[in-house]
Amino acid sequence: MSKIKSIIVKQSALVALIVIFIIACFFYPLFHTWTNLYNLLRQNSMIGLIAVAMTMVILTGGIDLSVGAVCSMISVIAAYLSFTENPLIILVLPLLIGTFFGFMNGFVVAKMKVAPIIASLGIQLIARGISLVMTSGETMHISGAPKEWLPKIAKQSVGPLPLIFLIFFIFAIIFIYILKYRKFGREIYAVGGNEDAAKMMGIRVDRVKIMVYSISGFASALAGLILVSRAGTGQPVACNGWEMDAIAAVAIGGTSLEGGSGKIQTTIFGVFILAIIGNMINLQGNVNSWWQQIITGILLIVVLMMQVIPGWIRNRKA
Amino acid sequence: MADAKRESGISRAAVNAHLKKFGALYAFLILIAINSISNRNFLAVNTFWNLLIQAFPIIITSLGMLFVISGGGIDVSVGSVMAVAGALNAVIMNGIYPFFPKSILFGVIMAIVVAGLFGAFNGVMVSVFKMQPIVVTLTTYIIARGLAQLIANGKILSFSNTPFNAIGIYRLPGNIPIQVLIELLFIIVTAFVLKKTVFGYQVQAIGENAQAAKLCGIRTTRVRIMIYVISSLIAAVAGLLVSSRTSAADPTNLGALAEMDAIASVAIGGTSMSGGKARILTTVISAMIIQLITITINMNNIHYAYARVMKGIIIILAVYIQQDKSR
Repeated sequence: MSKIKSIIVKQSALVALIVIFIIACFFYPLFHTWTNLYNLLRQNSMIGLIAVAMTMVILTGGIDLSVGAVCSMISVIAAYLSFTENPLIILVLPLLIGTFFGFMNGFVVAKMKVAPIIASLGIQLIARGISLVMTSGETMHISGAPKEWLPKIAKQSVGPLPLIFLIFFIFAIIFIYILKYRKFGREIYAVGGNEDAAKMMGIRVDRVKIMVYSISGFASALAGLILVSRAGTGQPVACNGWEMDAIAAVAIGGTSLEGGSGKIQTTIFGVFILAIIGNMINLQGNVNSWWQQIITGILLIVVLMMQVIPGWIRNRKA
Repeated sequence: MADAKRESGISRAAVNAHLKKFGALYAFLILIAINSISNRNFLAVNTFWNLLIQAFPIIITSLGMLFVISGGGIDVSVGSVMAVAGALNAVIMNGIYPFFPKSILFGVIMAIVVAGLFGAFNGVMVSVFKMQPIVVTLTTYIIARGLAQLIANGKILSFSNTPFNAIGIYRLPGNIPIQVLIELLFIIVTAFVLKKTVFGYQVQAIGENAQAAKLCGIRTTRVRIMIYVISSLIAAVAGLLVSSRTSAADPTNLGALAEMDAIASVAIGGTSMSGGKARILTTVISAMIIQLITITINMNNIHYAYARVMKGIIIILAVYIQQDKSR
C-alpha cells in the first residue's frame, strides 16, 4: 500500500496525465481519433520545446520569462529574412539570434549577478520591443519563394507523426540523455542544488548558467521558426504568456522551482496535461474558453497538492 | 602605495554605496532633465499630476509587491486580481446579476473581499503547505484572469456618470487629483507599517532568514498569509481605480503585466529579490521611472515599441548598478 502511495506521489504527473487521458477518451469520442491526437501533438510541440529548455533553466535555480517574446520575435525575423530566399539564412540566422538572446540573458544572470526573474524580464521587454519596432504590431508576411516551402515544413509528416513533433521529441531526448549521463547534466543539478558547493567542487558555475539560458534561447528560436512555418506569417504579438505556460508545465512535472531536483520527462507530462485540458474544453464546444483558464488553474493546484500534502502530513506528525 | 590602494578601494566602495542608495533618484532626475530639455511643455504642473495619476497603479501595486518580496516571496497574480476586482465591481454596479444589489458600495466591498480571498489562498498555500510562491501565485494568475473574463462574460464593461467615476476624475481645489491623495496615503501607511510597526519588522525578518525568524518566536505562517492578503487587497484597489479612471473594466487587458511592472519597480528600488530590507521611497521613485519612460517616449514622438526596449535595458542596468558587489 505504502509502495503504491509512494509511486503515486513520485509519478504524480504521469498519474495525472493517464487519469486525464482516460477521462478525455471516455467523455469525448472525438478525442481519441487520430486526427485529433495528431493535431494535439503538432500544436504542443512549440510549448514543449520551450518547456524542456525551461526545465533546465529552473534546475539551475533560475527562471526565464523571455521565452514567449523571443519566440515571437524570431518568427518576425524569419519572415523578414525571407526576402533573401536562401533557406540557410532563413533557418539558421534566426536560431543564432535566439541563442544570442539567451546568451545575453545568461550573461546578465551569471556575470552581472542580476536576479534571473529581473534579467529575463528585461530581455523579454527588449525582444518584444524589437518585434514591435520591426512590424508596428502588424503581422509580417513572407515574401518570394519561401512563401511556398516555409509553410510546408509544419505540415510535413514523418510516418504517422508530424515532423515538428519529431523535432520536439528529438530535442527532448537529447537533453534527457545529457541531464542523466553527461557531465554537463550533472553540473546543472549541482549548480541548482547548492551553488557555493558546486563552485568549490570546481564547476564553472557561470558557464553552466550561460549555457542553459543559451539553450533556452535556442529552443525559443526553434519554436519561433515552427510558429512562422505554421502561421505562414511573422507574429509580433503572439506567444503572450507562454513563459507562464511553460513554468506551469515544469511545476506540474514536480520540478522544484528552487532548482536542483526535477526531470525533463515529467515536464513533458506536464505539457500534455495542460494540452489535453485545453483540448477537452475545445471538444466540449459549448464551454466558454475562459473556463479553460479556471479549470487549468484548479487542476494545477490539485496536481501540486498531490506533491506537497505527504510532506505536510509528515511535518504535522513530527 | 598600499595606502593609495586602500584609499581608492574605499572611495570605490563609497561610490557603490552611494549609487546603491541614490541610483533610482538619479535615474529619475536624468529622465526629467531629458524631458525638460526636449519638450518645454513637460515642466507644466499638469504633466506632473498626469505622471502621478498614470503611475498610480504601478506605484501602489509595487508597494504591495514590496511587502511580498521583502518577506521573501513573489506574487505574479497582481494583474489578474486587479482584473477580477474591476470586473466584479463593474458587474455589480451595472446590475447585471439580479441577485446582487445594484450598489457601488456593495460592488467595491465584494471586489475587495474576493481579492482578499485570493490573497489568503496564496498565503495559505505558501505558508501552510510550503508551496513555492511563484508556482502558487502563477495558478492564481491563471484562475483569476479566467474568473475575471467569466464574470464579465469576456466583454468590456463600461459605465458612466456614476459617483464611482468621480474617484478617477474629480480634482480637489488647487487642481489636485483625488488619486494623488490616495497614492500619498498608501505610501505613508506602507512606510509606517514597514518601518515603525512590529509587523513590518517581522515581514523583513522572515525575508532575511525565515528559519531564524521562526526561532525568534515570530508566527511566520500568520505573517506570510498577511503579506499575500495585503498584496491582493492593494491590487484590488489598483484595479478599481484604473476602471474608475477609464470608466470601464476590460477583463482581458485590465492589469495585464502589472505584476511585472511592480516586480521591476521593487527590484530597481534596490530591495533584494531574495527578501530582507524593504526600501519604500526608492520603490516609489522606480515606479515613477517606469511610467516616465513611457511618457518620455510618447512626448518625443518615438515609436511606442521603443519604450519596451528602453524599459528592458533600464531595468537590467539599474538592478545591476545597485546590487551588492561584495557577493
